[in-house]
Amino acid sequence: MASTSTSTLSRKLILKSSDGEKFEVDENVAMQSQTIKHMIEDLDDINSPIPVSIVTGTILSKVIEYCKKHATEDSDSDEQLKQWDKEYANNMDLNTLYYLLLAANYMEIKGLLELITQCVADMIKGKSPEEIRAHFNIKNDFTPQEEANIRNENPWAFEN
Amino acid sequence: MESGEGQDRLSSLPDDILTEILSRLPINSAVTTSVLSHRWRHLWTAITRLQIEFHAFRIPKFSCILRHLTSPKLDIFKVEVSRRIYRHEAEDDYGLESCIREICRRNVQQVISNVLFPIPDCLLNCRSLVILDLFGPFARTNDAYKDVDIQLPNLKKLSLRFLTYVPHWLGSLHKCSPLLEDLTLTSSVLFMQSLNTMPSMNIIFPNLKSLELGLFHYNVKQTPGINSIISIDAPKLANLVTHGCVLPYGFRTNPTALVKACIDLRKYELRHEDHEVELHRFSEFFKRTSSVVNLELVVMMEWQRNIFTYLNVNPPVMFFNLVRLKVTLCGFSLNDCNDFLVSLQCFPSLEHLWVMVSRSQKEHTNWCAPNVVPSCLISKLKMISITITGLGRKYCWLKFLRYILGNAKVLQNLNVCLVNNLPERVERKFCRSLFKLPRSSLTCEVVFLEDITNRWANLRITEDEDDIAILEYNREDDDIVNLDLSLIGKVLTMRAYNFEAMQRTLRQSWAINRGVIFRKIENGTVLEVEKDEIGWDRSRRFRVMMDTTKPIRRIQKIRNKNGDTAIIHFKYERLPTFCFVCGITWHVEKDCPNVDEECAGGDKQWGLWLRASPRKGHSKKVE
Repeated sequence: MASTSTSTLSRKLILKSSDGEKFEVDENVAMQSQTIKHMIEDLDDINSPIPVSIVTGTILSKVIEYCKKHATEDSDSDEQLKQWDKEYANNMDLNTLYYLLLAANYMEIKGLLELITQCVADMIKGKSPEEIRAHFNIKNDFTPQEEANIRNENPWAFEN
Repeated sequence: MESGEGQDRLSSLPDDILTEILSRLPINSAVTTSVLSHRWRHLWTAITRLQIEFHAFRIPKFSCILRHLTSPKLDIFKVEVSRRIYRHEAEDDYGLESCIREICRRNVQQVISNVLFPIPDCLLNCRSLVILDLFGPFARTNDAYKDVDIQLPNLKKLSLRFLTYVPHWLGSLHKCSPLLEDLTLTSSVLFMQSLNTMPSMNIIFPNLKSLELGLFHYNVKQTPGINSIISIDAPKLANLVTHGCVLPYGFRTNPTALVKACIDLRKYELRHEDHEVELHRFSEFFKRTSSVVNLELVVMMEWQRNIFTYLNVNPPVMFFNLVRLKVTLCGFSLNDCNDFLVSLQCFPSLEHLWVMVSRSQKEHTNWCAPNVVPSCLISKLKMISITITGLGRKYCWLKFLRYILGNAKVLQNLNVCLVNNLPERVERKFCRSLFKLPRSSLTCEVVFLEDITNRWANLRITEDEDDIAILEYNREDDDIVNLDLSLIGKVLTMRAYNFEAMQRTLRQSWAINRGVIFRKIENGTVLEVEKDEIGWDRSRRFRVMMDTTKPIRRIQKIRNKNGDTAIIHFKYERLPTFCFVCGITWHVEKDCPNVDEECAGGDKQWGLWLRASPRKGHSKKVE
């Protein structure tokens, strides 16, 4: 047991972003991504770079930051980790959040996907449709009549 | 926050991500998104969680919402309504019952609700359930669930609050939910079931980690026999919380993995006639928790005075792992605390101690310290925090604090907080005496905390304080500017004194060589405070000129280049005597020339809260 865990700890993987940037990470950090986990299983040569095709270097570095933090489970209490997560998400601008969402979805990192979807959900929560559109630059393509009809389907949801 | 060049990237995300986002919203927010644009028109109907949070508005029929939802799988069903709604409309169930039947068909994993309504029995054989968190009552009559075949093989968390009786099916839960990790059973005040009619319950769960029991708030009608009604066998139990009477609970095996326990006996009333038996039973229960690292105890006086003596029986039950102890002692007099002090012997590794005492009416002036000094007090305790509510006029608690400070050899922090509006004169005297108490730990810092909330509420700002100081520049490398001003030392006197000698003494006693300049000032109008190069605190010092003919500054408004204004609160170390009426140093209110004018205004505007505690050691008086 002890010997296997040390050997997995010492193994390094190289991740290659869509724009060619390479990152060397511990295997247990990378394995938080289900996608990479499956890739490694099929891989013959562990030393060749693993392409993370749709994720740019900037975003991948942020993803790795998250995975590193969550790879060392015992170092922090749950509360501290939650606080870290919160600060991590709060420091992202909207653009980065979108790319992180796509990356977490593609790489299948459950925790990160939950964190960022919750972060976006919190931005929507409690806002009126107008406020949501303004926040995310969503263009209203309904006619006023169409919009009124939709509101009438579930009037209780719009009573604030 | 900027969204890149005005593009709508959110709408361009794939459906499954957007659905995942909408699933994390309460249902009304999710429905709101249907009018955003065509892209969003039907996205919400695919959500996989139904979270209904209603506080102010009309509640739609739950079944109407459910009809829209297309996902064959609903992971979470959560109903959170404000108490006002569930109380008077509890009769109308909003189709909740039929809704739950439908949800069970969609393999729900979590059902969380705070609505008081009878739970349909379909929930009890919903095999997909992982979390069930409900508020009682659970049926209109006692035997409603008699024939239910309960099937909850995946259940990990069960929480039933406001129980009016223990439902029969709980008795066989351990047979059908082996994975259970978290169990909460608490009763409502309407709980009337007598022990005779209660199903004997076995909390036998190999994976149980967290257990909260609060079924018997006050007491049970009769002291249970040798066999406990609720017997616990949970080898992995790490966290235990109990409220009220614990007599019906018994451990079949020692919970050796227990890390944290909270035992709240606040409402529990000991019955007079079988006092001894009850206390014995209590200590039997308490003994079993001896592996904990964190312990919280809430004890009420009068009937339970002997709980601590029962811990001190021979041989005492030792809690070798206990590091943090939080004790609330309701209605304790100082002498009642002795048993508690002696019981600290049982906790040889204790490092952090919080004590909250709400004092008893009858207070004795004569307090004798216990004969034994607990070993943890001498060699382990680093932090002690004592909050006293309703301190009497007599300062007998100072004797208690003297005992603590005199015996605690490795203490680093003693925080003393007085709650209750005492006359300021009394508080001030208490504080002065507290700082003077001899400390056997040289590195001990004593902090006196007043109940300052009332003071802040009445605070009026003086003209000086209303001036705004403009910060000329923000240095980039100095981002975290800590603006806490700190007065290091100040000698204000009209008498003659030896300046050189004082300077030498201060340098020695503070162990500093640089960063502080001593300057002789005529007429006592200006003093010198230096930038902090000593690094004795987290605060940074700034050069301050203080006009002692003016009131002490309590706050300073500041404004930086960007026009942001903030208010900074000051605290002063080693602040000399000052007047609480006008805020000017070197006299007290009885000598205050402004007293007539200001006192008409009511509350005093300055107070001890301006004073930061001396850093360490005994405070040197220099006059």
